[in-house]
This record gives sequence, C-alpha cells and structure tokens, in this order.
Amino acid sequence: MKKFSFRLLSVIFGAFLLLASCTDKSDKLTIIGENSSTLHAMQALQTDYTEKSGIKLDFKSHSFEDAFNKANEDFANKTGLYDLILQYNFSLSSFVRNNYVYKLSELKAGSQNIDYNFESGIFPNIWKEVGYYYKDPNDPNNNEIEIISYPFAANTMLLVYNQDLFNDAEQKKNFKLKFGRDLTVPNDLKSFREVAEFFTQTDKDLKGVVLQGATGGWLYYEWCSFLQGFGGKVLDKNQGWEGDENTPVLLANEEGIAAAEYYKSLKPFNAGNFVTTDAVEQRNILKKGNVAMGLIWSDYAWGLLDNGNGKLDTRFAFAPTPGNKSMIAGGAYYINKQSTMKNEAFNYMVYLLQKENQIKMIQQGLCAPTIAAYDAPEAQKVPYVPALKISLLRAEYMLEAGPDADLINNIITTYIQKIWNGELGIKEALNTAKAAIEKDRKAFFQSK
Amino acid sequence: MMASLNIWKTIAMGLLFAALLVLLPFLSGISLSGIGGLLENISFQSTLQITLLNAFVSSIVLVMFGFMGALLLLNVTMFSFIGKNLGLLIIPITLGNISIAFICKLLWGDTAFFSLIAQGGPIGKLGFLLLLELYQYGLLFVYLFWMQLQNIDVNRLNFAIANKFSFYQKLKDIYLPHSKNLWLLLASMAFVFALYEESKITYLFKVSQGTNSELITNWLTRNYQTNLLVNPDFARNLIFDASAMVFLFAVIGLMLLFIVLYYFLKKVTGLKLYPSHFITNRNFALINKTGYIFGLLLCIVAIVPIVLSFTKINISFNFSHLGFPLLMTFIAAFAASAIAILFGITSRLGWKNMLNSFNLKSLPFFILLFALMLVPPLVLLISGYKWMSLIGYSSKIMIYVIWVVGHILFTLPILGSFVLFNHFRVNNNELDYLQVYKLSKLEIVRFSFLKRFKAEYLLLFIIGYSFVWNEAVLNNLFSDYIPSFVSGMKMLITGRGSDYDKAFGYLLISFTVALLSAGIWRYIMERAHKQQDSEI
Repeated sequence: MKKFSFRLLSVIFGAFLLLASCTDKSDKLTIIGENSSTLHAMQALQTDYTEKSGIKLDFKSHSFEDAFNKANEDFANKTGLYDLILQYNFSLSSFVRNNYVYKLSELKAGSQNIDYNFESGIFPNIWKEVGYYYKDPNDPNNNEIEIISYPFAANTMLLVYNQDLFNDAEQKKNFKLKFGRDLTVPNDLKSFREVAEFFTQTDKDLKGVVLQGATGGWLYYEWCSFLQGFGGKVLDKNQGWEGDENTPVLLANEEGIAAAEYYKSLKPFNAGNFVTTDAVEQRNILKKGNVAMGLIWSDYAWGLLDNGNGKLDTRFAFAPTPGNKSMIAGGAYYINKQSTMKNEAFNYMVYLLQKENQIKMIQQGLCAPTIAAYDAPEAQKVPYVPALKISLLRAEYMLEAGPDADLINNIITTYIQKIWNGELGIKEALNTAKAAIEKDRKAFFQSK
Repeated sequence: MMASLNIWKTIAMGLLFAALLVLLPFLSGISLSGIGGLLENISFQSTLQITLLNAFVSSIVLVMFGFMGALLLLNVTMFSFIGKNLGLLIIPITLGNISIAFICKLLWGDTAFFSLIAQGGPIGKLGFLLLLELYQYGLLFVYLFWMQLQNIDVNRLNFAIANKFSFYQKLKDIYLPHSKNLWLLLASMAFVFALYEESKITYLFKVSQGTNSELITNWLTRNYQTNLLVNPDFARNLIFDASAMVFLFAVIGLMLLFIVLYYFLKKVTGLKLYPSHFITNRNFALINKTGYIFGLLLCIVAIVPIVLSFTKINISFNFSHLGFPLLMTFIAAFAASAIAILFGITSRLGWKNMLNSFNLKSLPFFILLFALMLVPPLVLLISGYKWMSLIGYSSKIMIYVIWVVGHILFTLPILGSFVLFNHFRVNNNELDYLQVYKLSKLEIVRFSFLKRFKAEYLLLFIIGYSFVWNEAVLNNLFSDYIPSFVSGMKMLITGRGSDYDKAFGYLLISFTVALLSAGIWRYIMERAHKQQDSEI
C-alpha cells in the first residue's frame, strides 16, 4: 500500500512537471474577449491567419465580467498579459484617459506597406461612436477628437418575431377583425403595442412580447431603445463618450416620461419574470415558441438561430426596431501599451477587417463593422443580416459610454424596475433617478 | 517541554501568518477616506444589515437542521445499509454553488413557484436561497452530526439506558454536550458561506437595487464594475474601504453568533430541570422506526436533483481541457489537506489547554483562523492581481506553484478548523502521558493523530477537493493558465456565448467528481466495517 501510494504520488508529480513545462507565450499573440459569436468568428479564421502570417493566436475567452476585470487589472498593473483586447464602447474612455492603449496614429506610424482602403468601408457612425475619443482628455476645453482604434463589431438591437405566429391564417384573420388592418411586423411603437396586445392570448398560452428587465445593462439598454423611439435622450450630447460633469441630464423630461409609461403599458403582454430576464433568458423564452416578439441584441441573434447541430432555427425573422432610429453599440480592438507584439496585433486587426474575412466572419455570427461585407450573397443568407444592415445605417448614439456609463445604467435600471413593480410613480422615479445621476456622476469626472 | 511547545506554536503561527499575508495589498490599500461616505450610504448600510441578518438566520437554521436530522437518524448505525450510503449526503457540497444554481434553474426555472419568488420581494428570495443551502450544506451537516453522535462513548449510552433516561435527558446530557463543538464549527462555516453568497442568488434572481435584493457581495461587485470605468485605483479605493467595514462587521457577527450559540448550549446543557412532558422513550421509539426511512429519504433528496437534471437537456460533451485542472485540483487538495492536518496537529499541541474545545478562550484563535474567510472574495481577487503584478507571470511552473500555495492558504480556515475540531478528541491527559514517557514529537504525532484520524483525514481530502474545484477567486485569477470549472460554467450559462447543452456537459465532470467522492467514502466505510468484524 505504501509503495503504491509513493508510486502514485511520483506519477502525479511527474505529470505535473511535464504539463507545467510545456508552453511558452513568447511567439503568441494573446487576445482576450467575451465568449461570443464574435470571438468564435475570429477563431474560425485562426488557422488561416497563422498559416499566412506565421503568428500563433492564443484566444482567452471569458464571461463578460471576467474579460472586463482581467483586461482592466492587466492594464492597471502593467502586467502585459494580453496583446489585443476586445472591449465594448463603454471601456473606450477609460482606456484612453488612463493611457492604457495605443492610438491608431501611433500604430500606423509603426507599420509599413499596409493598404488602408478597408477604412472607407467601415460604418462611419459606428466607428465614430466606438472608436473615436478626445485628443486630450485631460483638457476639458479642447474638443478636438481623433481615431483611437477600429471597431471589431457593430451592434444594435433588432426586432425578432416568431414567423409561425405571424403567418398563422387564423391569427391573421383575427387580427384584421380586431384592428381592421393586416397583421404585419410592427414598424412603429403604436403598432408594436397593438401586436403585443393581440398575441397575448391566455387560452393559447401565448404572450405578445418578452422584455429584458434584468440588471446588468439589459433593462437599461432596452428601455433606452424605447426612449429613442420617443425622441428622448438620457444626457444632452451627441456621442456616448462625449461630455463632462456638467453635461445636462434630460432623463425626466416629456420624452422620458412617455417612454416609461409606454414601457410599463407592455407589462400585461410580457412573458417571463421580467426582473430575471436577461438576454439569455429572453432567448430561452423565445425558443419555446409561444411569444410573438422581442427586442434582442444583434450579437445574440446568432445564438437564437443556432441550434447547435449545424442547422438554423427558421421560426425566427428579424426587422429593425420600431421607430425610425436604431441604437449604436459594439466595441473596438485595443492594443495594450505593455504588449511586446504591437505590430503583429495591428496587422492582425487589419487582416480581420478585410472584406473577404468580414464576409466569412458574418457567416460565423459576427455583426460586422464594414458595410460592403453585408451585400455579399453569402452574408445575405444569414437571416438577420438584411435587418441589421438597415439598422446600422440609421443607427445613432443612444447609450452612455463615458466613465459614468455604468453608474447611469444602474440608476436607470433601479428606477425603471421600481416603476415596473409599482413601487414608485413614473414622474417621481424619473426625477429621483435624474437627481441621483446628477449627484453621483461628478466624482467620475473629477478622479484622475 | 517549553522548547517543543514553541516549535508547534511557531509552525501553526507561521501558517496562519502566511494565510493572512495574502491580505497585505488589501490592508495597505485601505485609506479610510471613504468611510464617511459609506456611513451615509443608505444602500450600503441596508445591504450589509440584510446580509448579516441572513447569514445569522441561515447559520442557525442550517445547524439546527443538521442536528435535528442527525437525531432522527440516531438508530441508523454506521455500518448498516443506510448508514453506509449516508455518504451520499456529501454530494451536494461537492457540486458547488454555480452547479447547484444551474441545476435549480433547469429543474424549477419554468415553474410558477419560481416565478412567484423571482417577481416577489427579498424575503422570498432569501428563503429560497436557504432551501438551496439546506440542500448544499444542510445535508452535509446532518451527516457530520450523525457521525459525531455515532462516536458517543458506549459506556455513557449504557449508563443512560440503565438509568432509563428519557429522550430529553439524553438530548440535554449526552447528545448536545457531545456535539457542542460541531455546533459551533458548522454554525461558523454556515455563517461565512451565507455572508459571502453570490453565485446562486445572482444567477437565479439577477439581484438588483431595484428589487432590493442585493447582498453585500453583489453591492461590492456592482460598485467595483461601475468604478472600473474610471480606473482600477478609483474602483479599489471604494471597495477596500467598504470591505474593511464589511470585514469588521463580519468579525463582530461571527463572534456574536459564536457567543450566542455557546451560551445557548451551555444554558441548555446546564439545566437541572427534567420536565415530564418532554418526549418520552416511547415517543423516541417512534423516531427510531422512522430513522431508516428518513435516512433513505435524505439519500434520495441528495441525488434526485442530479438525476432529474439529465431529463431536462441534451448533453454536449465538453471534457477536453478539464483533465489538467482535475489533476491540479488533486495536487492542491492533497497539499491543502496535508497542511491543514499539520496546522491542526501543531495547534493542538502548541495550545494544549486553549484548543481542547471551542470555547470563549479559543474564540480569538478561531476568529484569527477564519479571518481570511471573513474578507469579501472580491478583495481576495484584487489582492491576487496585486500579488501577481509583483511576482509576475513569466514562469508557468511558478504560476502552478502559486496556484497550489494559494489554495493551501485559502482552504486553511475551513480545513484547518475541521481538523482542529477532530483533534479535540485527543485529550490532554493522553498528551501529558505521552510526554511524561518522553515519546518523540514524531511518535506523538503518529500515535495520537495520524493513525487515529485516518478516516477523518480522507473526508477532509474529499471536502478539500470539492472546495478547490469549486473555488471562484483563485481559479478565476489563474483561469488563463489552469482552466477553471467555475469560470467555464459561468461563461456557458451567462452572456453572449451561453450554451446550456455544453454547460451541462461541463457539469457532468462535477457530477463525476461528486459521485466518485461518495463512492470512495463508502468504500472506506466498507473497509472499516470489515476490519471491525475481523477484530471481533
């Protein structure tokens, strides 16, 4: 027994040493990002890129929270673990203000023989929202801006609807009887509520809509989409990253109140538990097939369609969100100033943004930031691509992306949840939220 | 004599000091400048109060459940069929927080009951959480109490039978005094687990300020994430100050719990009253009859959720990269158990009189041991990043060694206190006797500890393995080098890349580890039974 134990321990120790000594970072480009269809699309081109460039790629795929924390701690501690960081638009101001990342001009200066024609194909509105920032963030009087980086994804919200329900002859007939018009995919807020109301049929266990009421940004983003439909804004500015501690808060104005009233009026038609419904839960509810519509993030659309067996779920179709505008979201590639592979990382970014690679990545779930890629026949086969292109072309700033972005997100989520649960009246809640934002956000601009 | 005691103390204190050294970045980062703001912050204050109250109530309920469950199992003997299979009760704790939350979501996420809780107030959510904790920890507590009651001296039991003790007399004069230390240990553990609960309640209920359902871990995480958008230093300042306050209240809370339970047990066991209307022996006989049925029921409760979860999802196998972390977990659990045993032995020998039971004299030592667990996990994560920025990530071997050492230190409070509790069975007279006969230190260690507690040490290893496997801080910190089960699960059940089928495939690893643990434990029980039979 003793001999056996000793041998077992020796084997384990030997295996440990063997495994411990088998890797080396030096020739790898390390990329960190959220586990998502975007990252999966990049991984799909991994072999091709390594063959062409000789550079090995090491993807560190994490949950959003872990990827966000790890990237920030790596920057702050100057450990240089990650060469290329994929982060969303709200990280832009922090990364630039803290001088964590290279600016595009610095990267271009260090690179030669690169054709930058692809730049003209990037959605200009998306690029400006997710990839530009103040040239001198420490000088509040200098409003000059510059390009920081290229976008890796262009996201927005889409209306998803269940075609089986919309094409059902009996439902069409009943809708016409009730509303005196044909049942169509809603393109404005009035018809969106009518359709949601119509499909709420208790006898058939149907609901009209599934809203995202969970904390973590889900409620905030979705409610802002409705606020945008009413022509409102949270802050008085034109870009998410713009502004300072004195930027006026608009939240509790006429548009804000109308949006909150409208949102609460959808409660009788809503499926799920609302406050626990994030994008994943919404997707699970939609897949059950007894909900007519939802507003989903474009980078969740692939997961909704993908059945995991190589086939797409054909029940779902997509359209731009009701109204005449869409929201801009997405993120940019950031190259760590501590990276020893700055040029390799830049070349890789450029490779990914080439049209042929963007087309390939769209087919793997990327919401591409380049316009031309959307028109390729292969890309058009992806069910949500036509609606996504229309949405991105009309997309505008709506979501906060300054250092106070998460603060505003949390405050709005808190008070909309209280409105939804009947804990506070709409005006009282929005006024309290506005006051809290005005009070708390100042510290986020004063800290260096 | 004096010199030898100093060696024991030095080793034990050295280990404690090393564990507390982890906190250096935290301690040096507390500025106290934010304390004023925190004292005026209503959401922080109310969240801390709810969290402490919840931890207090949970620990009392769990420990009461464990003890009462064990009483119902009294007549189930260690080597009976049910007795040997009661080891299944360790399965839930080996699954870990995130797996239990996921299983719960699969089984009950679509029910009207769950909706009612999810859309209701914080009390319902905390009540639901308590139910999950009864499954996760309560079943283990029943098992540990039952094992403890199985160890009662036969002479004492015979004396009670000869004197026709009522159940109340046995409870008051035998069962409670015999399990007093376990009450205090398990209540303290339950307090810490409930205090820093995050995964289950966050995943199941998406707790928020808007629904008044946040616990203190949620508050800290939310504020850290919010402030990170300025920069990590700004985020740390607030979190370190808030965590210092949380730590202080956690220490006070734990001490209060300890003292309340200590005096409650002392008062009850010290009563001279024997009222006749308490449960009689005849009623107790009824309990005897139900013991086996209750044991069977508990075993079913322990495994049924796992079995049912298989019917809810298609499995997509995803084991490819978990071989290495399983091996590393084995190494870390082995090392952590060995160090905890060393700590338990040296502490028992070093402070012979103070550490012969959990009492008011040993309370400061106990609190010091638990200090690392009383610090919010987020602080440990941030401290980990700080330490690694000093040490560097250049050598993989070094990273693996740090990972193992980290687990040794992180598990020391739980495993060390578990060993300490077991070592209370080595009485001072025995130690004095061995010292009088001038046995060497190694001989004392071998005779009084290593040979006697083989089974307990194995159980310690099994619990240690599950703690290392399911640990969320250190495993997260190093997840780029040693794939973390918890981080992997989190990634597959939340966010853009979530995939329940793959997550379930991942979960199968945890099931396997849990069933293997129960199987090994049962095998050891079988062997002990055979050994006992052959001795007879």
